[in-house]
Amino acid sequence: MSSETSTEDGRAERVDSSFQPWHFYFILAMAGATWAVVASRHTEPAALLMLSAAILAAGAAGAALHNALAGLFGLNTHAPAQLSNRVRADLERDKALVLRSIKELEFDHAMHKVSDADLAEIGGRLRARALLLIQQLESADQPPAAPVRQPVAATRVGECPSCHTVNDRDARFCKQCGARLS
Amino acid sequence: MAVLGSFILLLAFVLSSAAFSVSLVGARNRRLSLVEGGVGLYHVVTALMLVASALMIHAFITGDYTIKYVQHYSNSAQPLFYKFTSYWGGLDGSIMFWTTLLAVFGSVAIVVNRQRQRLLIPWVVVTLAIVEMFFLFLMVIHNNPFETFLTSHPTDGQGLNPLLQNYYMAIHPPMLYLGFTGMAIPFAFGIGALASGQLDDGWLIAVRRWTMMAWLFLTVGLTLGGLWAYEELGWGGYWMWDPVENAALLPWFTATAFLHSVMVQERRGMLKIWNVSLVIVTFFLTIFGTFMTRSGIVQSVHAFGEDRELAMLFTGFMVLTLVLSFGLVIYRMPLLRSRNELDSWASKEAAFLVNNWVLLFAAFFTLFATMFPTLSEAVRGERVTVGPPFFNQWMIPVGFIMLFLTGVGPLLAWRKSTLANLAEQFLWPVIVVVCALGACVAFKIPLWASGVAFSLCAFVTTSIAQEFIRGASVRRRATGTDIFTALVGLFSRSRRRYGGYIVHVGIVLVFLGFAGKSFERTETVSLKPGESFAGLKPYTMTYNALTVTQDPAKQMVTADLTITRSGKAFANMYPARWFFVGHEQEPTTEVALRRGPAEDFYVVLASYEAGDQSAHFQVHINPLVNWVWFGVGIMVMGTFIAFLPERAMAFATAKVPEGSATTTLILLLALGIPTLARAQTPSGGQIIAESAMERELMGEIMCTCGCRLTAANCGMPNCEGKAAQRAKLKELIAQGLTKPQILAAFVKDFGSEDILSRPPDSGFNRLAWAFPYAAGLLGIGAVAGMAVRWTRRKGTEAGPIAGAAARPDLEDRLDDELRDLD
Repeated sequence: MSSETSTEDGRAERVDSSFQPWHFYFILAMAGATWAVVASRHTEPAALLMLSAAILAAGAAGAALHNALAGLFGLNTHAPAQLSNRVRADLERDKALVLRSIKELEFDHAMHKVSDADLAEIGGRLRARALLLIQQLESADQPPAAPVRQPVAATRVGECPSCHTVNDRDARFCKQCGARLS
Repeated sequence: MAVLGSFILLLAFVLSSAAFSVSLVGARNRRLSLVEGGVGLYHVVTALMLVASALMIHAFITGDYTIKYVQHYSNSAQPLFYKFTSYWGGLDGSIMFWTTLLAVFGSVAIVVNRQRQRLLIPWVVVTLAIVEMFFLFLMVIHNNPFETFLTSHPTDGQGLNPLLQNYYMAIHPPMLYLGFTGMAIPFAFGIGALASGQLDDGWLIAVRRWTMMAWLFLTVGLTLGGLWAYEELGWGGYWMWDPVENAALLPWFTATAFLHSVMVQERRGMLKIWNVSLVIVTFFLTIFGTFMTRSGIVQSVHAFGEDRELAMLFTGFMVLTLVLSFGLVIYRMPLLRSRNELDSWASKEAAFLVNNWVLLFAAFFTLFATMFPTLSEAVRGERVTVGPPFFNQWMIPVGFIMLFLTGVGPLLAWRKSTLANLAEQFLWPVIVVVCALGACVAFKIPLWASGVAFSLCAFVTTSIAQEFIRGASVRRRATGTDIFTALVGLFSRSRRRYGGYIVHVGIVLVFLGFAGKSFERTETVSLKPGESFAGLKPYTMTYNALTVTQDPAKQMVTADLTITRSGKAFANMYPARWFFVGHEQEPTTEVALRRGPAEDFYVVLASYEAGDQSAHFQVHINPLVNWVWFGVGIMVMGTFIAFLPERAMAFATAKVPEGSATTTLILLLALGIPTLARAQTPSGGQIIAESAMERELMGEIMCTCGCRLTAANCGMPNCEGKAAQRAKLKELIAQGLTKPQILAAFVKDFGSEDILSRPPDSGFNRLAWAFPYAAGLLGIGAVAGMAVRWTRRKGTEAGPIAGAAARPDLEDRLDDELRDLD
C-alpha cells in the first residue's frame, strides 16, 4: 500500500526495550492458552490450536482495548513524536511518485503518444510539483523557523501555515495536520 | 462456548457502535484523543471477531452439535478440512465470515494509512463501523450462528451439502468474500474523502491498490466458481449466468471500470465525480450481491433460501448507503468539479470513456436481466426465466467491444492522436486482423462469434506485443543496453502499465477459451458393459464395468471406461456418482475429465441401471476450455507485477520473472491436480439420437426437477423432469410443429412462461428485450453529450503554471535525480 516506508519507520521507531502494555496481554494470553490446552476435554490437535488461537485473539482484543482507552484519555504520548519523520517519509514518497510520472511522460513522448506541446505543459506542471517537494524536503531538515520561500504561484497551491504541506488549491484544511487554511 | 460466542458478537456490536460514535465526534471536533480512541475500538472489534471465528471453528472441529449451525452443516464423518470450511458453508456463518474479513481488512487499511491520511482515518472508521454494525446487528437479531437448540439436541450433524465438499468450493467462497469485503475499503476511503473534504488525489492513491487487490480476489473467486461448476455440476460448462454468479460479476465490472477511469483522473484530473461514484456503486453492488444470495429474492442453484425479514433489513441498509453516499457526493459537488476537457475522439481519454460505458452497460444489463424474473413476478404475478441464451445474445457483442478496446486503448495517445500517429500505431495490428479473418474464411470457421473472436484476439495480442517491442527499443536507445535488459527494465520502470498489459494478454486467452465454446460437441450414449462408443471422432470409449464402493461418508457408484484416441490408448476414466450419508436424494456428479491444451474430454455418468449394469453417459468434447483458466493465471500474474512495491524492483529487476514463475507454477499445479486425481487407469453402444432441432430446443426449455437449469444442462441421474421434457419434445417434433409452435405448446401445458429459458418477446416481457437497447443508447447518448461538452470547453481555462524556474539549483538537482532514475 502507499506506506511501506511509513510502516517500516514506525517499526524502527518503536524499538523500545521497556515493558509495553501489549507484552502483558501477550503473556496473559499465552498463560491462558496453556491453561486451556491442559484443561480442555478435546485433545485433537486442530481443536487445541483453534482454542489457543481464540485465546490469543482475546489477548489481542485486550491489548487493543487498552490502547483504545489510552487513546480516549489522551495517554498515547508516543504518537506525535514520530510525526516529523513521518512527514519526511511522506514527502519522499510523493517526490518519488512525481519523478516517476515525469519519467513516464517522457517515455510516452518517446513512444509518440504525447505531443511536444503536451510534454511541455504536463511536464511543466509535474516539474513544478517536484521542485516544491524537493524544497519542502530541504526545509524539513532545517528548523522550521526559517520561512519557506514559495517558488510556485501562491494561487495554485495552498501551503499550510503550520506544517508547510502543499494542499490542493481548494482545500479548506491541511491534509497533513488538519489546520484550517486561510 | 455458544453462550460465549453470542456474547462476543453482542459485545462486538456494542463496541463497533462505540467506535462509530467516538470517531464521528472525534472527526467533527478534531479531537485527537477521540480519533485515537475510535481507531482503537475498531481494532478491538476486529480482535473480537477473530475470537468468535476461532470459537466457531473450534465448535465445528469438536462437533459441538448443541449449536444449530454446527449441527446443520457438519457431521462426525466429515473430513477435518471440510469441518473447517463448513464455517462459511451456511447463511449465518457466511455472514459472520464476511464481518470478520471486513474487520480484518479495515484494521489493516487503517494501520497502513493512519499517518498518511490522518484526516480521512476517523471518517474511514465511521464508515467501516457502520457496515460492521449492520452485519453484527443481523447476527445478533436475526442470524446468530451461535444459536443453540432449546431442549435436547441431536447427537450427530446433518453434514455439509455434498456439492460443497469439493476443494474448489472450499476456497471459492473465501476468495469472493475477500473480493467483496475488499471493496468496502475503497468505499470507506471515498466516503472519508467526501466527508472530510480532502478530495485531492491522495485518497485515490490509498484506494487504487486496495481496489486492485479486491479485484484480483474477485477474479480468482469467479474463476474458481467456474472451475467448480465445470467439475462438480457436470453439465460440461463453467458459466451459466446464474444469479449468484452474476452477483459477483457485477462489482467486477464496476471495479474494472474504476481501475481504468482512475488513470484518467491521475493523468488529466478529469472524471472526479465519476470515480467517486464508481467506488460507491461497486460497494453497493457487493452488498446487493450479498443481499441477492441471502434473501431468496432470486432463484438460483446456490442461493441460501428465502428470508423476507433479512431482505427487509438489507433493503433498509442499501437504501441508507445509497442516500448517504450520493448525498455526500452532491454536497461536495463544488469541490469535485474538475477541469474536464476532451481534445479529440482519437485519444486515450475517449477510449477510457467508451470502456467505462461498455463496462457499466455490462453491469446494468446483467443486473437487469438477473432481476427481471423478480420484476416480472412483482408486476404481472408471473415468473419468467431469463437464462443463458438471453445473456449470451447480449454479452457476446459487449465482450467483443471490450476486447476491441483492450487492443485500441494502449495504442492511442493521451489528448490527441494525429493521423500519422494512428497509421504508425495501427498498421501491424490491422494487417494481422486481416490475415486472421482470411484464415478464418479459408478454414471455414464461422465468422460470427468464433471468427470475430479469433481475429480480435490476434488484434489485441499484436497491439500489446507492439507496445512491448516499441517500448523496449525506446528504452534500449535511451539506456544503451540490449533488448532483453530493456524489456525487463520496462517492467521495473512502469510496473503498473506493463503489468496491466499482461492482464490484457490474460483476457485475450480467456476470450480464446470462450471462442472454443462454439466448437463443443456433446453426445448422450447408453452402453452395456463391454460396449464401445465411437460417435465423437477421433475418440472411442469402451465401457468396462460399474462398481459400487463405500466409505464412512458416502457410497460411490463408479463406471470404468477406457478411451482410445485414433486407435491409441488415451486414458482410463472413472466418472462416478457419490451418495453422501444423509443426502442420498442429491447424489453428486463426479466428472471424469482429461484436460488438454486443445480440448477436454469430459464424461459424466448420467444414470445407470443396477440390474443389467447398463449406463447412460454424457460425453463432451470441450475445445480450448483450459485457456480460460490459464488466461486467468496470466491475469493474476499481471496484477502481481503491477502490485510489486517500488523497492522490489529497485535493487533487482530480475526478481519479476522469478516471482511470477512461481505463481504460474501454482496455477498450473492447480490445473494439473484434477487430471492426476482422476485420470490414472477400452461392440456398438446406442447413441441417444438428438436432431439439431431437438438439441436446440432442449437448451430453450427448462428442466422441471427444480434444478433451475435448462433441460439440456440438468445433471441429475435418471432425472424424470428431463426425461419427460425430452419425450414431449420428441413427440411435438414428430408432429411436425415449428419451433415457435413447440415453445408455445410447452408454455400452454406448463401454464407459465417460466418453462422457457428466455422470456418471449411479447407483452410485459418486451421490456426485457427493449431495456438493453434503451440502456445502451442512453449510455452512448450520455457519453457523447459529455464528450461534446468537454470538447467545447477547450481552452477556456489557463493551462500550465509558470514560474517554476525560481531556483536554478533546485532545477539542477531535479535533473540529476531524474537521470539517476533510469
